[in-house]
Amino acid sequence: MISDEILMLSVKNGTLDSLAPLFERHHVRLFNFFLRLTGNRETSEDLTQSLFQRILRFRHTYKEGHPFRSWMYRVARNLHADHYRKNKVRAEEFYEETDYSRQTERLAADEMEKKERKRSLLEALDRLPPEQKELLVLSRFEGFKYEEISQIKGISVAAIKVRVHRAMGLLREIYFETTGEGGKKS
Amino acid sequence: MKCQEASSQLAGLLENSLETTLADEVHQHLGQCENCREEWEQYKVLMAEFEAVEDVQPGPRLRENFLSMLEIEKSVLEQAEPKKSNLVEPVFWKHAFLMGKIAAGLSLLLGGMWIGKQQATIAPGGDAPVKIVDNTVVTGLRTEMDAMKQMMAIYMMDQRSASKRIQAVSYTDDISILSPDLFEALLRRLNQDDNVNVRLASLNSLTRFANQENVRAALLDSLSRQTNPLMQIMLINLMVEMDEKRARGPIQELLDNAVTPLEVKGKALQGLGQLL
Repeated sequence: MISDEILMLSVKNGTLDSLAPLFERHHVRLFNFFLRLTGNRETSEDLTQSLFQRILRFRHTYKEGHPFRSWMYRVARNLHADHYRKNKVRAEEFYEETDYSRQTERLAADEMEKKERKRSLLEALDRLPPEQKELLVLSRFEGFKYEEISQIKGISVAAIKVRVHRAMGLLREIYFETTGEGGKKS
Repeated sequence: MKCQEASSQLAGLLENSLETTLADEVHQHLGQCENCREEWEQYKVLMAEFEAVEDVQPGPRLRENFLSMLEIEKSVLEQAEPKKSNLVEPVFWKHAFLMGKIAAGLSLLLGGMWIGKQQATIAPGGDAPVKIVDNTVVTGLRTEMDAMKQMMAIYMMDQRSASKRIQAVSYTDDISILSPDLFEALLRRLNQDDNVNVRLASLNSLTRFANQENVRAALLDSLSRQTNPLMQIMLINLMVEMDEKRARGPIQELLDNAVTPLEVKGKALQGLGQLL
């Protein structure tokens, strides 16, 4: 498997086609990253597309030896921050999305239950302050280690850890208040 | 340990990042305090909720738009550079008819598989799932789909645009059996494509089948054919990984060749040491 870093160096050196395999490897995860932050499918597709465009335009800023994934997510969160400043999108739009609804229609009954569960978790996440929500998306959904999040956000590992724990605490309060199950669910 | 302290450690306990003594103290407190235990249970539920969320697939529009954007960016870049000749034959359109047939067959198969899946998962009474479709039918459909996918990839590999050829090569990433036709097509891309990234993608695909002797021999042979330093380095790495002793000859030749770039020579020397 050719590493992301070699492909990105190739892009940096002018072989723009090397971006195609990077797109194939990462676009689904990035789309989901944006989807969890914005709650809107169309916006997330646009942001994913813009991200790869930014990677091309700013390819000269990629430094050899730097982990590609961290660099890419740094660009991604800047992109999302710009978007967030311009629009504040509500989570409900995600659930009213036609494509998404069509997709869920195909699911069997147990799948529908899963969707309900997803809704309350994402709704609870949406009620967190943006920075805490982003931290939980990076650590819990994208699976980044605290060291990696520290590289992406440019904050110390210790600070990231404290903030993630605080965010989890707040999410717990919101989630169990939202679902009204008070921890009886197991 | 008091409730406030125990509560502040629960997120750490959840990700197993507490030191053993501290974790033991928290557990001990949880054993005695019902309120904190309830809080702890809630954390566990929350973690399970995170794990239960599945990825959503983006629409096909995303890939299409990406490829168009890439072409535009390339043409902007090319304006500043002299154009290279394109040696790839535009045979793609000659096969448009066949492509249409393959696509139609593929949708039928996908449709069949989808219906099969629905029938297999929705139970008449709504309780336990009842299997209506025989597994062998689904497996048969999958094998046929695999074959269709291979055929489609082979025809798409001859497209003019390098990014589309990379895409075609990457279609074969999840196939389980390498047909002789696909093998030949990937080998042609590996050794003859004028774009190094298509060659790299083909190498990536073929590497998955490197346990087959014919593929192994072809990769070995390719080492003497490649002139691009990146390809030479990737192949040397692969030979070392596979512990392919027969590669010592071609690697030695690279080392002895006056035109071989220094970074490749370094890698060659290192590789020879590892293949002893």
